Amino acid sequence: MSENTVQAKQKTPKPVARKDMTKWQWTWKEMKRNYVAYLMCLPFYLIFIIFTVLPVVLSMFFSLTIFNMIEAPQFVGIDNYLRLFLDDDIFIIAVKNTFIFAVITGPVSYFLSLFTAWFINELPPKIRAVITLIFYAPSLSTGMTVIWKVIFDGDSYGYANSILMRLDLIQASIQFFQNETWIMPLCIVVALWTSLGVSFLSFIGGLQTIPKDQYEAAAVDGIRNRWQELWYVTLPNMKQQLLFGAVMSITQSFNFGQIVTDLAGFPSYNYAAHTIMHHLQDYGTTRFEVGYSSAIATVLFIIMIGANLLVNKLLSKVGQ
Amino acid sequence: MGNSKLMRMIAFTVSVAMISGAALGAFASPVMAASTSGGNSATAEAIERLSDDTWSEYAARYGSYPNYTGEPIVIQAADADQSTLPDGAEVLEELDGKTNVLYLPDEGTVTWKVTVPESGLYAIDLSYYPIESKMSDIERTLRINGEVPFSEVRNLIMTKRWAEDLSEVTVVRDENGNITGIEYDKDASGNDRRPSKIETPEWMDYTVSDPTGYYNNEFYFYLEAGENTISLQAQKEPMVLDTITLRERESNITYAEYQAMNEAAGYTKAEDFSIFLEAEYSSATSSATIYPQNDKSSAINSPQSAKDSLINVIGGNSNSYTWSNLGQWIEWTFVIPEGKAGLYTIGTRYLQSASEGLFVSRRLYLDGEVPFEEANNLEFMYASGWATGTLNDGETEFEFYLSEGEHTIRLEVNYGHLADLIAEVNDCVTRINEIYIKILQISGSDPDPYMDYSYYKRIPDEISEMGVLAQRLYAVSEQMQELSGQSSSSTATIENVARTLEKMAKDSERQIAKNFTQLKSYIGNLGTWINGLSQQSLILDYFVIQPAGGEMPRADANFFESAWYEIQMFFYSFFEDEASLASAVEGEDIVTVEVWTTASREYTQIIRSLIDENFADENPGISINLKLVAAGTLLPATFSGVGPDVMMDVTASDAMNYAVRGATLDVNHYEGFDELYGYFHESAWVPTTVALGSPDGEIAVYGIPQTQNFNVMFYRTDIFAELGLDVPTTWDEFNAILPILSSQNYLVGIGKSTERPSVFNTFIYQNGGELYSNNGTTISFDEDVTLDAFTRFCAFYTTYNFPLTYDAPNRFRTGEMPLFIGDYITNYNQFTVFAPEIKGLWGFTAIPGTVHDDGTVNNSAASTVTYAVIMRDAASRGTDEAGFQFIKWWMGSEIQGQYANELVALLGPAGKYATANMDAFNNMSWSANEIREIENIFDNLVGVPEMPGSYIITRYVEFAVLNVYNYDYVPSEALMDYTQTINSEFERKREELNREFFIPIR
Repeated sequence: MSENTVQAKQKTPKPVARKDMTKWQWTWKEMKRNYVAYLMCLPFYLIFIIFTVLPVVLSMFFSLTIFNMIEAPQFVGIDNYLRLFLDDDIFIIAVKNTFIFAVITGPVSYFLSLFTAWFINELPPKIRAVITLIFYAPSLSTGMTVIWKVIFDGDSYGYANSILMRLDLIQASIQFFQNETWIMPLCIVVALWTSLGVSFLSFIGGLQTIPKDQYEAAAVDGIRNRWQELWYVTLPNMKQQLLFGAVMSITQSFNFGQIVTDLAGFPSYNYAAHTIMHHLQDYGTTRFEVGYSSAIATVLFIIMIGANLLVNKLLSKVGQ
Repeated sequence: MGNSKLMRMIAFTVSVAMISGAALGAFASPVMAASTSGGNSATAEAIERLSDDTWSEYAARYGSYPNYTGEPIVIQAADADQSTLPDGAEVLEELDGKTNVLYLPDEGTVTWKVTVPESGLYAIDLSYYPIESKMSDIERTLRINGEVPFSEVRNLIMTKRWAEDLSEVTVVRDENGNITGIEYDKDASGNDRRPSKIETPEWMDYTVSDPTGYYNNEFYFYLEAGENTISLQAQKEPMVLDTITLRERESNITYAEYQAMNEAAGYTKAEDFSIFLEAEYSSATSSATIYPQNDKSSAINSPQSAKDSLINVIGGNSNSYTWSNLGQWIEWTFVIPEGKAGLYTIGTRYLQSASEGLFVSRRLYLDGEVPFEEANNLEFMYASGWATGTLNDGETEFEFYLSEGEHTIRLEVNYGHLADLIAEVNDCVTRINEIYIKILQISGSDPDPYMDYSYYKRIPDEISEMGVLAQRLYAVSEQMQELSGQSSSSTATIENVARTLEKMAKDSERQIAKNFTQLKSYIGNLGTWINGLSQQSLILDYFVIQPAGGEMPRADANFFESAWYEIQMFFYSFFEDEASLASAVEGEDIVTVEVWTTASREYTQIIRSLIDENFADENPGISINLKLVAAGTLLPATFSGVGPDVMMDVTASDAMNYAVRGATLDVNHYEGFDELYGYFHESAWVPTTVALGSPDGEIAVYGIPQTQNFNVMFYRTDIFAELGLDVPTTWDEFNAILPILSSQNYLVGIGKSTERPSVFNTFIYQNGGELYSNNGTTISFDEDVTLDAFTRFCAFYTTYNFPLTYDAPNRFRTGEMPLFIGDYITNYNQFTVFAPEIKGLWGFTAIPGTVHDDGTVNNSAASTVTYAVIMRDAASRGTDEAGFQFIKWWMGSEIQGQYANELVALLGPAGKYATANMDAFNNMSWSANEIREIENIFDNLVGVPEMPGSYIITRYVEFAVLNVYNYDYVPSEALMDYTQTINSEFERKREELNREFFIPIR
C-alpha cells in the first residue's frame, strides 16, 4: 500500500502548492526559476547596495559613536541622539528652518511645476519646446544662483540696492544676506526659482502621453469644465509622474543646503537659514564630528521617509 | 475737474522735490580740505614724485638748447664725494680687468662733482659691473644738482647678465667654433633637463635712456657751465661703477647711410657660407627667467621629438612673461670664418601669436652697438602659426656687414613703432584720471542726472581739456589703423573713450552725469589696452645667417608631417605619464617621499623643475613624488591610509585639526629644525606651536610655515596729495582724516567679511590683549581689552558708516575708496596687473597703530599662515626624516627666492607670492619704498594661536558685528553674549580629544 502510493506519487508528482511552503522557501524557489532576471538585476543591485544601502547603514552605525575620520570610532550608545534632542539649540533652529523650507517650497514648487506644465502643454509644440527650456534652465546648473547674489549684493553697487537707493527708498545699502529679515524669504524665492526641475519635465512628459480620446469620451460623459477635466482625466492618468514629482520635491525641499550656502554663506548669519543639511555639514566637515553628524543624517532620513509616506497617502486620493 | 486737481497735486509734489533736491545739492558742495600737519616719508616721496616734470615737458623746455660738442668728460666713480658715500660703499682695487672701481650697496645716495666747460645738452653713459646679488635688475634714481630732472630717471634700470651653466654638458662646435649642438642632461624618460642659470657678470655700458620705453633715443640733460653734481640713489641691488661719462649727443645713422658706407668700403655680398644657429643656444640673457624651453606646437621645430620633450626654442608666448617685458634681452654669439666676411642677412624662424593683428618689436645690437636707426624697430608680424623671415623693420629687410671673427647679436624688447602711441595713451590716461577725480569730488561716484552741478563754472579748464583729449585719442586710433592696416578691437576701445569724452566736453551738465560710470570703466579699459600692448611676446626657434638674398627654410610643417607628428604624439601619450609629476629616480637605498600640493598646475610644474634641478643633486638618497591633488582629498586619503608623507598648502586651522587628532607629526625634534626656525618670523610659528599636557609642558610644532599673509592699508597717493593729507600712522590720525575724506564723497573700507576676523584680531593685539585667555582654554571675549577693541572696531561700521560689503579693487582704482585695509598680496597683484591706469598713484603701508596711555604706539598686525605638515603615516613608512629634509630645502631662502621669481616670470607681475621665508620675501622685486614698508610690517606681525575648536570664533565674531550693524546692539554686549557658547565648544573639544593642548607660556 505504502509502496503503491509512493509509486503513484512518483508517476504523477503533485504540483507544489504555495501553501505547502514557508514564504522564504517559496521565494527561493521562484528566484531559482527566474534566475536570469535576477542575474540581469545584479549589477544594479550591487551598486545600489554598495553605494546607497551600505552608507545608510554605516551612517546609522556611526551615529552611535564618536568618530573624527582620523582616529578609530568610539562607541557611545545613544549619547549623540540625547545631545541632539536635548542639548543642541542650533539643531532646533535647523529643524524649524528645514520645516519652513520644506512646507513652503515643497508644495509650492510642486504645484508650480504642475500648473506651469499644464499651461505650457497648451502651447503649440515649437513654442512649447522653447518655453520649457526657459523654465527648466535655472535648475540645470546650480551655479546659476550666483546671479541672485549679484542682484542682492550688500554692496551699494548691487542691483537691488542700487535701484532702491536711486529711487530714494533706502539711504544705506541693505545687507540682504546678512540680515535675518531677508535671508529666509530670499532663499525661499531663489529655491522656488530653481525648483522647476526634473518633476516639471516629467509632468510635461506625462501630460503628453494622455490619449486625446479620453478627453473626448469625458466630454461625452458630461465633463463641464477644465477643472473637472484636470481632476478626473488628466491627473489620474499622470499618477506615476505625480508620485515621482512628489518624491523629488520632498527630497529637494529638505536638501536646499547648497543654495543657502551659495547665497548667505556658511553658516548663515545667526543661523537664520541654517537647515538640518547645514547642521550636518557643520559637524561633519568643520567640526570633525562625523558620529554626531551621522546622527543628524539619520534623523533627516527618517523625517524624509515619513514625509514620503504621507504624500503617497495623499496622492492616492487623486481623482476620487 | 478731479483730473486737473490730480495733475496739480503731481506738479506740486514734483516741484517740491526739485526744490529740496537743489537745496540738498547746495549743502553737498565740497568743503575745503583742511591740511593736517606732520610728515610721512611715504606720502612725501609720493607727492614729490607727482610734482615731477615728465620727459616730454623737459624735452620741450630744453630741447632747443645747444648740444655740447667736444671731448667726452669722464668721471672716475672712485672720485665720488667721500662725505656722501653710504655705509658699505668701497673702492675695489681690481675687478674683472678694471682697477680702482667703486662698489655701491643697494641703499644710499652717492654724489659726484663735475665741471663742464660749456652750458648745453649732455648724454650720460655709465660703465658698470652687475655684481652677483639677488635676481632683480639694478635700479637707480639719477639726480642732477640734487634735483630729479624728470620723473623717468627716478627708476633707471640696468640689466644683469645670466647664462645657462653648460659646464656639465657637452657642447658640440663645428670647425669655425659655432655651436651646432648641446647634449643636455636627460631625465629617466628621455626628456631634456634644463641647465640651471648662473650669473655671468662682465663690464657693461649703459646709456641713460627711458626705462618706460616710450622714448626710443638716449636722454639728454641740460647742464650749466661750471660745477655740477650728479648723484645716484640706490633703489634696488648693489652695483660696481667704473666711470660716468658726459658726452656729446649722438644720433644713429640711417640704414641708407649704413648701406652707402658699406658700398664705399667695397663690401660685397658674402658667398657660399651660412650659419644655422639654434636660438636656444643663447650666450647670455638679461634675466634668470629667460631660459630655453620645449615647444611642441610644430612638427618641424628644430630639434623636435614626438616622444620626448626636447629643448628647442627660447622666449615666451602670450601665456608667459619671459622675454616679453621691456628691456629684457637675449644675446647670441657666432663666428664668421676667415675669408667669408661680407654682407649677410639674419633670418629667423619665430612664433608671434600673441599680439593679434600687430607686430612685436625688438631692438638689435650687433656687437654691442645699434648699427643704424632702423635697427631700433625690428618688427615680427603676427601670424597664427610659425613664420620665417629676415630681420626687418616692417619695410626693409636688412643686410649687415659681418667681418671675420666673433660677433654677437642681442635682441632687446622695446616698443618700437608703438612707443609713441603707448606713450600718448598713457599720458591721456593720466590726464583723464585727474579729471575724473575732480568730477568725483564735485558730484560723487553716482551723479544725479537731474541735478545742476555747474561743472562749467567749477572746472572750466578740465571740461575743455576733455575735448582736447578726445581729439588726441582719435589721432592715436588713426595711427594704429595705419600701422596695422585695419581697425581692430584695440582701436575700438580708444574710440569709445574718445567719443564719451567728446560728449562730456560738449554738454557737460547733462552728459557727465549720464556717462560718468561709463567713463570709469573706460579708463580701466585703456589701462588694460596699454598693458596688452606692453607685452611683446616672441618665441624663436633658430637663426639662419646667410648671404643676402638667400632662401629661408619652410615656416611650418606640411599637412602630412603635422598629421604624422600628431598621430605619434597621440600614441606616445599613452606611455608618457605627464600628469604625474613624479621624480624619476628609483632604486634601493632611496627613500621616496610622497608630497601632495593643492597649488595649481603651473605652480606644481615649477616646484617639480626646482626639485629636479636642485633637490635631486643635493639629496641623492631622497626621491620626491610630487602630486597635484584637489582640496579635500587629504581627509579621506589619511583615513584609508593612502595619504601623503608631506602635505603642502594646509591652512593653520586644518593643520591643527589634523594635529590634535594625531594625524600629523611634531616637527620640533628633527635635525635642522633650529636652522629652519630662523627662516621665518616668529609669528608664523605661533598657530601651530602648542604645549602638551599643561601650559608649561612639552612644546610641539605641528607645521612648517609656507606662506604668510597679512592686511595692510592701501592708499591713493594722488588723492591724498590733492587733499593735502598725510597717510595716517595711528588710529587717531586715521579718525582725524575721515571727516575730510567723507566730505569729498570718498569712502573708506576697513575689511570685508573675509578680512574682518584678522582686522579684529589686529585691534585686540594692538590693545595689548590676546584672543584666548587661560592658556588657550577659553576665549577672551569677557575681558575689557578685547571688548574695547571690538567697540573701537564696530565704531567704524556704526559711527563712521563704513560699508560692510564692497568691491575694494574696483572702488580703489576709480578713486571712490582711496583708503582701505585689505589682504596684502591679493590686492597688490590685482592693482599691478588689472589697474595699470593708476600705476604709481597708489601705495601701501602698515595698518595704523594704537597709541597707548604711556605714549607708545602698538603697530601689531595679525597674520594668516599656511603650512606644510608631515603626516603620521610617514613615520611608519620611515619617510618622515626625508620629508622634513624636503620641506627644509623647499622653504630655504634660495629655493623660495627662485620659486617666487619663476612665478613672476610665468604669471607676470601678478605672480607675487607671499612666501613666509623672510629673506626670500624681501628679495622679491619690490621697490626700495615697498621693501621699507614690508620690513616695518614684518617687525610687527603677530601670530594668532589655533586651539581645538577655534573655527567657532570667526563665526561668532561675524555674528556679533552683524548684530551691532543690523540691530544697534551695544558692541561689548553683542560680543560677550557669545563667550559662553564659544567656551563650551572649546570644552567639548577638549573632552573629545585624547590629549590636552595649551598655548605655551612664552
